[in-house]
Amino acid sequence: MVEKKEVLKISKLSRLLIEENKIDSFLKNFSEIIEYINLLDQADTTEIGKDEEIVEYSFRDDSEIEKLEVEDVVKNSAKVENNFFAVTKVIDEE
Amino acid sequence: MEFEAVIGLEVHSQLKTKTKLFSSSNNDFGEEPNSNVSVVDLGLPGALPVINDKAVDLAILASLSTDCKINTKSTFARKHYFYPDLPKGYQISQYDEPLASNGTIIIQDINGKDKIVRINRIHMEEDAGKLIHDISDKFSMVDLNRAGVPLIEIVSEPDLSTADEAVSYLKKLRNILIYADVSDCNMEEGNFRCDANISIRRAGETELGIRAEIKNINSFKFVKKAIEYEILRQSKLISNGEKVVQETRLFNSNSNKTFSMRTKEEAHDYRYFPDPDLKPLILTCERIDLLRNSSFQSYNKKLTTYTVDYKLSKDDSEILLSNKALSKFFDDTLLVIKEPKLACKWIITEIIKHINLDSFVLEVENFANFLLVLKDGKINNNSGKELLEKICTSNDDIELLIDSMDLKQESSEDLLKEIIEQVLQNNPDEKQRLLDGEVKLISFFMGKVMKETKGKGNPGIIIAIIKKEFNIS
Amino acid sequence: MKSNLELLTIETIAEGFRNEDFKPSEVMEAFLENIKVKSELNAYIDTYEDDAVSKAAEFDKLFKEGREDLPILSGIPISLKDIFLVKDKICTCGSKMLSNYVSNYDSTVKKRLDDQGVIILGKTNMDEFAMGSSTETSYFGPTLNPWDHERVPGGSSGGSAASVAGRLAVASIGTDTGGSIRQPASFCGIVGLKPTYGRVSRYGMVAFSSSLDQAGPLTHNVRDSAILLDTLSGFDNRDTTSLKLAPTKCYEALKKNDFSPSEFKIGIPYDLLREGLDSEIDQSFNLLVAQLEKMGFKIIDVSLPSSKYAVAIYYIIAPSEASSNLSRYDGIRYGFNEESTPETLEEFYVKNRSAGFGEEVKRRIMLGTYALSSGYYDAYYLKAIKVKRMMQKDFNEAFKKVDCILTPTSPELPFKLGEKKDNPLSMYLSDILTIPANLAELPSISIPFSISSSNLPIGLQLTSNKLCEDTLLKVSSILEREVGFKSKT
Repeated sequence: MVEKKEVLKISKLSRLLIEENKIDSFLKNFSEIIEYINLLDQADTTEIGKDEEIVEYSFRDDSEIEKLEVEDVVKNSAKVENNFFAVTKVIDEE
Repeated sequence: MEFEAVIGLEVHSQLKTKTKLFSSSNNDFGEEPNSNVSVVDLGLPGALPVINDKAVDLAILASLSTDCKINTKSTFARKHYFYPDLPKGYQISQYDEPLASNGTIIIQDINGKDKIVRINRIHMEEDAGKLIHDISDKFSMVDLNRAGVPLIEIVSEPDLSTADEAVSYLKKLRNILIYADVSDCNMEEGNFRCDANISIRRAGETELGIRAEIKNINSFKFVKKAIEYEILRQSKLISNGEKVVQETRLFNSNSNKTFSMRTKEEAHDYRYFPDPDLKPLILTCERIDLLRNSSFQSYNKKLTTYTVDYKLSKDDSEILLSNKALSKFFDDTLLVIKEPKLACKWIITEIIKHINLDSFVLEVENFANFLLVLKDGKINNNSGKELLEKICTSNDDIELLIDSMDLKQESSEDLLKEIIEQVLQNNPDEKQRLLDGEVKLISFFMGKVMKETKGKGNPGIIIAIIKKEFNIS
Repeated sequence: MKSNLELLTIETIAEGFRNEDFKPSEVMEAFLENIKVKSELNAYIDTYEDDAVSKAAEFDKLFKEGREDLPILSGIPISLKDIFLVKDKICTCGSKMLSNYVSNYDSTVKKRLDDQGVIILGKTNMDEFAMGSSTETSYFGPTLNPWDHERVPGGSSGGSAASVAGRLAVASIGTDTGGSIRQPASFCGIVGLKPTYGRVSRYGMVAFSSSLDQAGPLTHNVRDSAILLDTLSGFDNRDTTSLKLAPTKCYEALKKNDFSPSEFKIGIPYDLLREGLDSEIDQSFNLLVAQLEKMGFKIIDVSLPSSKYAVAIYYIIAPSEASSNLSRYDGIRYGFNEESTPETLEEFYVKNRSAGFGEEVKRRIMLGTYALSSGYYDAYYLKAIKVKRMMQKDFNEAFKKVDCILTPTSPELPFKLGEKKDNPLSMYLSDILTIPANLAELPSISIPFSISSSNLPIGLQLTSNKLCEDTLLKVSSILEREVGFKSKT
């Protein structure tokens, strides 16, 4: 069983809120899944190295410019001021 | 109690490319907000990164210049955290498999002795956008022009012990990167930024103390002040029996103090994992060798050539190497005329003022002629200065200019003797004092004679005549 | 007007245009009409009726002029899963988060269809961010299975499958991360093909799990799938993971019709089929194998011992990548924004993301965050990568002996709406047969082959070695002809 405080830590890291009344059922499902995933403990991977097949790499030439017009950059944003995206004031103490 | 500081530096330097690291928008600064943004930089759904070939070359050059080992396989990883200047919610960086590792930079310690500073690693990553707080009271403003700009991060080992050493390491690193044409390293524009990790320990101890990291210091002066303050702060804490806290601090340039960022946020958990959009970066030995053997020669190799082969002083050599165009002009000149010392002298005093200007048109062949007429004594240094000034912007033929400007050095002993006689007559007091042994008055007469010859007198001959006249050996 | 035009395939419609039996606008009209009539299926999130009508009229002219250079897909009405970006159109990915997001650019898939003259009818419904096997996690409500409206069409490309099976499009393009093309194709009685990873560019396709996502066609028959694969495949310099290969030429290979069962060896991985199979599916599958042997195929037992870990590997890798890919949705530059005035930045993120994502998406983001977080990375993510490699080795061994591996596509029949809502793990486990091909980057196809006593379609799945789509489609076309059934009309 995954501990509640662990799930709360994960929820904070993911910036996702689990509502208080749903936390128990979430925890139950989450734990079941984790338990199932722990099946991998049985797999013996000692012989598996980090060998990967080497693939041909595609690079981009540093020449051609392709970008969006400013209007297009900001058109889907809920809060724009003078072509900046405006967000909740970040309080940096100085 | 005696303390010693242990300092390691992490330097972020923006690469000189036309486009960004993973997208085709301009790598340009200071333009209208959000005007250099592509679908990739904006972190749009479905957008995918494709790596910039040139950026990889520049990162390799930087690594070669600091004598790093290039890893033929390196991987890009995602570093996750939520912040408005980070459009994808992760930064593409390199984590457990960096581009290069195990380099060195040599600096001078307080006693002028060489000190080796080890480079732990150099890796590539993308820059974040900019968050601006002072435009509005209510909001912070996000500008993504910088998002995706290519960076290398150069991480040193904690081999530095003083603020001065840290500064000379940074200056040296900056020169190396500028020389290799990898970065402009302009600190004001933020394309050369430094984080410092500082801890202290009792002198002679080998175990490292708890370190504080000072983020984003943006000038050499502030680096010095920040480190000095931090050493003092930590020493006081320990002397008072308190403990240094491992934390991130910022430097306030008004108070010259560092202060804790005091963010309440959870301990960072960046959840690095290999970016599935980018396969491992595989570099062929041919590619690396091509860069190693290209016209480019690393700063350190060059420094050795200048000081050992050409016998230039270290200081002069470093001035030549502080500017790629300057050292190239010097190298090209030596292909025409083998006069390293003479060439160096004129390049680092005069050419340096012109070399980066659009008006600079002087060709090395003409400069070589210039050095030749100087060497042959056809003109003196004063005239040389005047002449060089002229040809920097015109590239006119030296011989013709010497005639038209009437700069030819006056070396006729008879004529000079005559002028000297005249000058001595006009200044009887000074003549008497010289006769009484006040040798420094030679330069007084030298000045007078030069004035009479309109600066063209051959100074060597003038001195010789005066010395002979007054029996000075 | 000609009747039943919507019952035709790409191949037969293309032929009809060229013989002037009917015009593109007539076909278009038939489909648009059917979309309206069957709107209760909820197959589409958005339709482009006006664009489609005017484009069809243009093709009318071109065909009338007798132009012979028109590609086979010219004027063919096709639907797109709402995961592909089409410039200036909304792309929701089945989520509230993107319910107003207007695409700034075209996906490569859309461009390649455009280049061949395809007319895009609209965007089909899907599980939110392609996370689901039933299309029930869509913000826009579930899609119904055209065979039985009380049942799910499968997922996540359920809208695509329903649009083809319900005759609301000639074909559709979906995406498959763990079976999201093949399982709905099976549930809706049509053909669904997931190509080799890297065959089709992912540029402009909203990412779920970048190392597993692959686009592919859902069609009425194997030949139509071949035509669309030939169109979509080929290197794209905007996607570093796309393979540096020319487009496939599978349609030509199929048209030659110069292959027979005796050329092919088919492997049956019994260790994967031992448990959890619906008894009716089990029975009909065994009959199928016997039938194939009679037809002259060589049937060989193969062993894929590590495949028992497939679901566990998948539910580490896919959520890990998803948690990362979905970090970009914060409501700042685009996407759902609560427009409240939170005190802190953290609160701002939490509000937008919690309100913009549905339950299943949240669960998977948190699973992935968990698997990548410090202290767990080695035990979960790294371990999963290693077991995945073990599994790939199993497949390599198997393909030394056989050309294709045959299983049912799904261990179960289409289930009822809401049946698995509260049991995510059982939903996950139903992907056991499709997931291995994604993890091993292999091409895999689902073809309808039987109908259950409850009148629901059953699909078979063929998987071949990397880049062997031609073999896969050849075998498929034989099976389709000999043991398949005509799609639901």
